[in-house]
Amino acid sequence: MSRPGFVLSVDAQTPPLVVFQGERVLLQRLPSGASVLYPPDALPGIHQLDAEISQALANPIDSEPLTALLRRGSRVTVVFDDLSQPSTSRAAPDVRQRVIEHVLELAAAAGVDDVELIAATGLRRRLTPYDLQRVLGERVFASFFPEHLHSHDAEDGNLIEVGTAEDGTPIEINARVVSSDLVISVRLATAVGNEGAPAVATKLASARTARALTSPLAAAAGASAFESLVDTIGDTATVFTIDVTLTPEPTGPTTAFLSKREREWNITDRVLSAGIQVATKVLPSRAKLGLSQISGVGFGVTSVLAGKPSSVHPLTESFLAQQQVGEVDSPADVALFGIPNPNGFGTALNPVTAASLGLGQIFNGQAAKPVVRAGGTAIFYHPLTPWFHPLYHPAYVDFFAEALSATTDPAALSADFEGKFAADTWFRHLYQTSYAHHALHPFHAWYSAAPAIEHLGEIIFVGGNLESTRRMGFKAATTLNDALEMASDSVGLSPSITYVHGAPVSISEVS
Amino acid sequence: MSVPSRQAVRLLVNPVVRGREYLSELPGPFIFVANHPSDVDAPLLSQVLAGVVPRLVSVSAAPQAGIRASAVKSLGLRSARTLTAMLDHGVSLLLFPENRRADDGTLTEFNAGAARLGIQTGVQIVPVTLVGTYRALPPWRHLPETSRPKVSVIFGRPIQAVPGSEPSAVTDQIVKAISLGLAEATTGWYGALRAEAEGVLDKAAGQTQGGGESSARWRRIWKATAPDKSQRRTVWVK
Repeated sequence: MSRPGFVLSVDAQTPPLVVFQGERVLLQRLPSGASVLYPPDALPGIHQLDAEISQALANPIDSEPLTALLRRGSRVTVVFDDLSQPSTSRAAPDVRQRVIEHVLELAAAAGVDDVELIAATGLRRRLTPYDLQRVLGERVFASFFPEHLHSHDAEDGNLIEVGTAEDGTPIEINARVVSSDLVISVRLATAVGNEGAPAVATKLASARTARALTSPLAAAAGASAFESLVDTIGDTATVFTIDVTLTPEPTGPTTAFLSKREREWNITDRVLSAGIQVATKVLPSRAKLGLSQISGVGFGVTSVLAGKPSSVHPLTESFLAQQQVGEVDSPADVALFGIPNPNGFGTALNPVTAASLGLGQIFNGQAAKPVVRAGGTAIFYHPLTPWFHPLYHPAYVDFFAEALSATTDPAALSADFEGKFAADTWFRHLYQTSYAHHALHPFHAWYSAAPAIEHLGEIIFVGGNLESTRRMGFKAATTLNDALEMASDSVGLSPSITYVHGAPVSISEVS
Repeated sequence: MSVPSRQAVRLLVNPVVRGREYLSELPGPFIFVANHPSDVDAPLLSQVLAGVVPRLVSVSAAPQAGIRASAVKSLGLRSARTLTAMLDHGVSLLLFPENRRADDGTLTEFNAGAARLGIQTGVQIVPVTLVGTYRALPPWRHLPETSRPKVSVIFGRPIQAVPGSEPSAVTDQIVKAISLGLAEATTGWYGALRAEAEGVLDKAAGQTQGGGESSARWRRIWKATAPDKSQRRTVWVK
């Protein structure tokens, strides 16, 4: 058990606190009386990962060992998490590679020739060959790419209906997965709310199914539709899951101090902090992006569990809950969040993604309950620069320019724009043949933020681009004092303030 | 012929390393057992293992005659006692247990010394396959070719010899692991694993090498030094 999280009350002696703002790291002095919510320290990573993986595969939960499930001549599909989960190491192999190599060694020994590896991308972009090689390593890549190693395609005609949701929506799943004898799912999770649904099928569904189940107009709740597809998919496919949990923040010598409590900083931490301050002031923006990327060294692996998905998922969830902050006494009037650029992505966050990520913290954050009361104010630190990745975000550009400037209401967006985007052949072409996110991806990101927008009275971005914040229906402030001044209309002149320290827990969910 | 130094190796060849992560998580020391196609092998491995193993002593084939042979024999430098003492002090060993070096760099018969040492001391044995070092530095050359040829260093999963087990069985295990690495070069990683499971590993591994004992010597050397096509620079992206 690691050191638990705690709540600090800011007083005159409290040093300025670390606040992430895009590629910058600020040192912000908070008003006296504010509370600071520190997450628990990360658990130490597993040192002997190979032994841990072998042990998990040999002693799975509520399932036969993997060696018994793999039979000569069977049809096996390995499904793994894409870059929506962080890569665990920069220099050493990624944990997905480590697990999949173990699985494939067992499969080869059992006499399995028909193996296919599919990245569970959902509506996110396909992985480039470079991405695949980085995630799975050269050995697996060279053995299977391109015929037997690829990303899921939600627009492909090769999808099979395996059932219907309550409202009659057909549930279409990747045909290869449905026709397999054994589906081995390799999943990563960094924190509660980040481990995804128990069913692997949610990330392998067709765009039509995903659209119908995620739409704000649909009556059916998305997750319940997949309930019957947790342990088996279709008639033949049994699912064997391998859940790997990671430390919530990257661990490494250079930036470990950013998640430390400021009062405990030693002289090296202070020097590093001063260095980062200077570097972010002096360097041009592209170089600053690079700075944020070298800073994260890797995520430590804290547990490996394997077995039947419906039995493993609750265990993973409860294990991750240990890493969460305990109960918040009472929700505050104002909550403060810093939003960094996720490292390892090679891009800045676009404004829609940054907003949905930040707002996602209200309900799925480090605390079990929202840290801000209904009708309260949330203050985020992010520049919201209206910049979109030319390759990954073509649909976001139109969503931001056309759809959001017309309305920010999810129901109206769904009724007026979603159909047009979903039917757009150019976006579909880019999704299937280039590396663009699906045209529905920005809509789903926005819908995920909708409950938080509903919950909050005011949303203010410190240092936010004026045009972007206005378009999304938020407000921009230059400093924290300005933001508190703006919030005083709704929360009064002396509101209770909670600052959630550190990076958002599900920083990687947005890819 | 002089053996190139570690620094020279760093400049002259381009190593591709696989399986090093198996070692970084385990406490040392280890007994590394490798095939020995070329003189570049020992410095290459000590270069590759620099960050993983703090101290490494490589033990090459014993000189057969001359002053060095008698010195080695009288001082007992290669005796099991000396090697065990080194392992006790946390020094990892790199052994090349082939009885003789083949003139075309292929795998020859292994002696059971390494396996015996592993059984006796309980230290983990790490099989290492070196691919492409013969091509990079064949016996008639003094320096590798100037294009920084690619060489593969493939570490197998460590083998823990159980006390009392048969040295020949452990040696077979080591040879199998090294052949698996050799097969990886032709059939790919998964192909090699499948070949191992089907019991056709020797055939798959043999393709990388000179083409079997039966062919003429020149043909074996010809094949072993054939240029690596994957290394050729191309203008067009394939």
